[in-house]
Amino acid sequence: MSEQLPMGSFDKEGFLRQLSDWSPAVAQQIAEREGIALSDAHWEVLNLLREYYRRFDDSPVMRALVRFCRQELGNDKGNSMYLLTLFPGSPAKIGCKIAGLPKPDNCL
Amino acid sequence: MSRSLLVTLTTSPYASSRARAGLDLALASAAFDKPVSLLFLGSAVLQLLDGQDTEALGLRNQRKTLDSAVLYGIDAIYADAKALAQLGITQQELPDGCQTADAAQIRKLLNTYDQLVSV
Amino acid sequence: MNYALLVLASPASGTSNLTAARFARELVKQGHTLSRVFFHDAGTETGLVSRVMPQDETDARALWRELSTHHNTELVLCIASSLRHGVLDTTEAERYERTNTIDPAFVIGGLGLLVEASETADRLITFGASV
Repeated sequence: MSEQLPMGSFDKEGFLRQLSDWSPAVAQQIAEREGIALSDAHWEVLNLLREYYRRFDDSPVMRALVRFCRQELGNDKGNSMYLLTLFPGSPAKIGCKIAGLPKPDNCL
Repeated sequence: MSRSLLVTLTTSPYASSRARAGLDLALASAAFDKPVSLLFLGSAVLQLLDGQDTEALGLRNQRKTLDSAVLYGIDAIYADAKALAQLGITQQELPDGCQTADAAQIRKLLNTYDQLVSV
Repeated sequence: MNYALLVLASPASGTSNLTAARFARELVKQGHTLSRVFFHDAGTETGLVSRVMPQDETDARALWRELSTHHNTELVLCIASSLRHGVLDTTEAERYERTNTIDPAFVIGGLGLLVEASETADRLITFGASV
């Protein structure tokens, strides 16, 4: 794997300190540490998260992410079960972390 | 059934953190299943303007985040018709589905919701 | 009656924060219940432990502390606003690798706590709206 970032590039929770450091290779690196092997299905959601950020200038909460997935990918993928299967635990938060989006502020 | 909420915004988008805080409050309330609508009064209608570029300001884009409101289940956005006229803002610069409201309509809106929060 | 308050103004500017604290004090004095006050936007600066007010001005934080101590009023600072306004509890200080700056009478929490309070209270009153 090329371009592995040094540990100091991440904070204690594994979020990037500098969002501009993100690359697909860095996403692999973050995912590995989350115990997730990135498949095409993961990338579909990660790309959607980056599109969400580009379009709305915000990191989504779960509800907004589910609706956005439903709108862009259809009902089969626009539901929380599907997202939980890909990113177990907290899909919005873990997805944001791997996709290189700003760290959610735990507001919700 | 959750109580319905009308969040009234009154400040321009980037003069302070207030516009952002108001939008966050509305989005969070909607995320918790409250029926939420937004009303933009006075210079707050500037928050609705299309084509905001905040790159140089180093701030998050208020209009872009406002566009995510529908994903939170916020369907009704109202704008002060008088303020729009004073600032020369046209309907096509506003988000899709944004409704304009004159004084009488605003008065009626304020009586329609269970709760009002003005920020 | 059961009240919930939303405070948007900083104690450092204007009079809204102090007015809110006095209103809160009067509520409980008259036998009403005030279980939670939610501080949002610049209002979160109320919980900043490092603020020093001039000796001949009223310190709103002291009034809020009194409500917490004597009436079990929960003083909640919005987490997103708190970060922006520099108020960090131990958890957030660790999360962002800074130091703790919160008055221990206050807690940091999400906007869900405002939603919850607004659903259970008879009245939700906002202080510090822009005029």
